[in-house]
Amino acid sequence: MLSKRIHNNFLFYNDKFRFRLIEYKDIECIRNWRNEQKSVLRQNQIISEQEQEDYWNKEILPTFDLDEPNKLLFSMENLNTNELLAYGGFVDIDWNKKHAESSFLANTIYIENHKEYKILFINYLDFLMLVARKLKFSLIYSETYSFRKKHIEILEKYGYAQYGFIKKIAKSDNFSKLHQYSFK
Amino acid sequence: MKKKLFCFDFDDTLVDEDYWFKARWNKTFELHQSLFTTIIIKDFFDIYDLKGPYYKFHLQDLSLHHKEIKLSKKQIINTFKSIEVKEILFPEVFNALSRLSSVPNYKIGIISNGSYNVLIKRLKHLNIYNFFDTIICDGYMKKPNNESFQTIFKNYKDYELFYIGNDIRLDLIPANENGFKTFLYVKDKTRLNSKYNCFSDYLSFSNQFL
Repeated sequence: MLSKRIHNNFLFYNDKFRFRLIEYKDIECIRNWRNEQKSVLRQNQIISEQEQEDYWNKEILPTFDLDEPNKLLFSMENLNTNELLAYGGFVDIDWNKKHAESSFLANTIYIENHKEYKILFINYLDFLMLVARKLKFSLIYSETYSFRKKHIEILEKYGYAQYGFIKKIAKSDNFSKLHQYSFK
Repeated sequence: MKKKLFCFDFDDTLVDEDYWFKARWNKTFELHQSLFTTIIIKDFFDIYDLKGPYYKFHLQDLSLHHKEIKLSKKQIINTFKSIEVKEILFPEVFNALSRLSSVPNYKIGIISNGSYNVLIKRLKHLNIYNFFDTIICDGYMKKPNNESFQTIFKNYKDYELFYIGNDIRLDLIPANENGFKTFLYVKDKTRLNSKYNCFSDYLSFSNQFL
């Protein structure tokens, strides 16, 4: 059970934040954030409480028992207040190739404050890369809408490089794909 | 009319890659003319023709025979990398892209290997960038890996997909495996054959879909 090994063996703290596996208690917060920010996600409809519950039971909970889950989701908390700040992780994990897509979504209240968002996102990426190295992932990629300029700026500064775009599925602008270097 | 997406490879499918490399090397030799005599240039292109454009050690091999090159290798390579030359599309490529992309249900794309930023720059110089609805140019998960084709396949599910490339192993086989109908472009008409939907004339190619 990979999730348990990760939980037991990884260093999850820095001086401000705690990173842990996603838990049931997080899902209502996450549902609200996703609905509030659905324009930046690959999500067309509002998620109901029941749908979120179903997603947890069918898509998340079973992954905790697998050695090679297709997704690994983590929550990020304020170390002092325990406030849930963000969540994300790896999805579409290809264990043969050691490729995975990284994802990140912060509490909506931090979206407008670029400085705070940047701190959260960079700390989250630091944590994700730690996990990626432990799991010997060779490629992490991400995709985001090109109108998310501040989000893209952080990704690119972190080392993600764009390798393509797709206009067709754009909502209000081009769709960009971003791609990071391999870890060696 | 069913929606169609035509994805092209870039080098040696839309543009003459050999011309692009050789023209940049020739400009490099002009800028370093005190080093490059006619004989050295000939020897360089003998190595180039033997090893191909992507071989990393043309200058290193050349310097085995012409020691005067050895000390300046780094500067020569930097010059080469900085050189931009005017590229030329293969005949009728511009018209074919223009006509296909102007059909309401048709989209045009590129799936290529290499540097995304370099490709974008080259497309803009060629004035064809705006024709493309999607561009995937991956320097890591390169063709013949499936990833680039998969990205398109997943995002254009309601489209009939076509891939046009010049290499059977890198282009046609993985494209076919990922749901694309394929066409093989050959620049040399004498190499045309009945296999792989082979063509050398972009006008006829585009006409069959109009």
